[in-house]
Amino acid sequence: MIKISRIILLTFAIGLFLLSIMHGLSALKIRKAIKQINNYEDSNISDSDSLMIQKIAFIIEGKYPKESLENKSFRYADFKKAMLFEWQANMTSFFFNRIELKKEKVIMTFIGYYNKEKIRKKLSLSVDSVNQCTIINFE
Amino acid sequence: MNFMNKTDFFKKLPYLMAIIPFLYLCLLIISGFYSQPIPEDFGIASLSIKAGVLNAAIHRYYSFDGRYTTNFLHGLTPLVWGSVQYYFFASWFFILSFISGWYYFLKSIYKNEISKRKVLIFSIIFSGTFYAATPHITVWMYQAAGTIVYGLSGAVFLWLTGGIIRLLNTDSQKKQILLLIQSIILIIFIIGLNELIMVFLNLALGCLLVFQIIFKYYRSRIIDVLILLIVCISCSIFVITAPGIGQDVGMDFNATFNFLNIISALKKSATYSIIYLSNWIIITPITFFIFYLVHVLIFRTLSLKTLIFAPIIAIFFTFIILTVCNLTYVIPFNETVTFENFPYRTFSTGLLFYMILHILAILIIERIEFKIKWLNHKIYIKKTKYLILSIIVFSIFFFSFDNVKLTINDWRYGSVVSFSKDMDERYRKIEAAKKNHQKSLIIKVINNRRSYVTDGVDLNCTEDGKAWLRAYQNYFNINIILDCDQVSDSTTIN
Repeated sequence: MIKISRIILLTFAIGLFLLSIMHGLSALKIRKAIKQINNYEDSNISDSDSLMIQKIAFIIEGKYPKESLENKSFRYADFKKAMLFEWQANMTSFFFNRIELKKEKVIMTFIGYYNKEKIRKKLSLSVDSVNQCTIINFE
Repeated sequence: MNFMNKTDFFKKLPYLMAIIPFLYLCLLIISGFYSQPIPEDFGIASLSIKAGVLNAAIHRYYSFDGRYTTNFLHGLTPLVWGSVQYYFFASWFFILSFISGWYYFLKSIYKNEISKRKVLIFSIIFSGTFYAATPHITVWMYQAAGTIVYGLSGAVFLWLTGGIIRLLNTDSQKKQILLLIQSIILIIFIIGLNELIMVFLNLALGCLLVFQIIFKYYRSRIIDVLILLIVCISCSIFVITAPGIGQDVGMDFNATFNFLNIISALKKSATYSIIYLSNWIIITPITFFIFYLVHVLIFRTLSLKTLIFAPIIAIFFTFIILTVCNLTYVIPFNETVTFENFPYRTFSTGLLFYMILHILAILIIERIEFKIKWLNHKIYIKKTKYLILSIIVFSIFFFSFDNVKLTINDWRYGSVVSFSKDMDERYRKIEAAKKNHQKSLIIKVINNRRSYVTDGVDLNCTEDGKAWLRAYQNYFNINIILDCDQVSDSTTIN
């Protein structure tokens, strides 16, 4: 029994280690994406980043109920739900979904902190919609 | 009239030694009642209120830092669940958890050699001395935002160290498994609190494992230590690779990874370590004094080898640990700018490492037989009067600590109560303005700031001070303007 307990704990530790490595690898991708997006020029922005930004714009400008934005109930969970719906409709691979999910959070951060004005102009977003988006950050 | 015999009197000496630290702790606990949240507390609390505790924690992980436990616990402060009035509960909780941490740690190392009551007495002595000697007392008890990172992690660290020592020394298989599970849970918890402890734990567990393999000590526990190390490394990866690291300060963590920069960072880190070690070890000899007095009060003897080598070993290892830990703060790999802006916070945790290492060094060296005979010579403290004299000297020296002097001065000049009253008045006016549906409110700077209890960022007329207004505005949902023409007291307008 004691031996089994130790084996279970060791398995748990190894599982946690593998999980952390997977998380670390995807986090590195996210970091790279942030760096790219943060320093991007119109010419070298990658397709996937562009796609992500388009999706954000799509949700902010089109699909997301406007009333929610106005009464400031635009919460992280709602945003995530909306994003998930979009991805489920378009992507089939679970792994890709997971990575993208993390990217979604990063993009949120990125809109909150970096080059807000630049992105706004690039996507032709209204000032209000971008400002509303920062509610999910620290505003 | 019955007089106590010598042995009975000797047993009472720890109580005598604990008087001044105990009174100091009482003063700190009373001061805790008057502790007030700083604007950062309001900012963090408002995010948790608006987005939900879990969402706020996830958001901070993805946009600010990798301290996953801290990010979650920030959503559990009294400001989120209660109101400003209950803020003092946090201070009391942190102080009591720290004392309980010392109790568990000392109980683990002294096992059944001393009674529970005496362990409690010694916990009070060590907690009181730590608070007196720490270079940054505020983040150990009075600021919920910072205390979760430093004060709580210090307390949990003591619990964890005590648990691992028990795990290595217990023979009962069932207890081993329970202690192993306890240690795993505490490691998962603590790694997400403070990166300094994360670095130290990885180093300590790694060294312990190598020690076990090479010198064959605690050989039957190799698997246990391996499990702990794997969990520790895994949790560290979660912290280090958090996408939010460096985002807030715009750090580019790949920029300076070259050999010369690392050497220069190492030099800077070592210099800081020497400066701060000398501050609280050489200038305040009381930090040496306490360990030997406690040891003599428990065992009544002390070897020359311990007196000579224990402080040297403790300082040497603390220096190494601080240098390595601070290295993470001086190369741009960190998630906050703690080292640059608040180096005292880092060295506060260093003091805890030093105290734990010193106690362990005394216990280990006492058990080692040296080849040079005179070093093994034991001093038996036969005359109680020397001990009483030492305790009196300890008590007098206790007042030489800056924190003790500042605490007493704060109470002497009444700044503790007056600051708290002014802050309460500020909150009352904000609440009143909200009830009256006022659109905006002018508040004035409080200038009778305490020297230590709220030694954090408060609203003031500098650019940084004004920036914190947003935190107030988010928490209270009212437009607040800072009046920089006048100070103290507050007035309202529409």
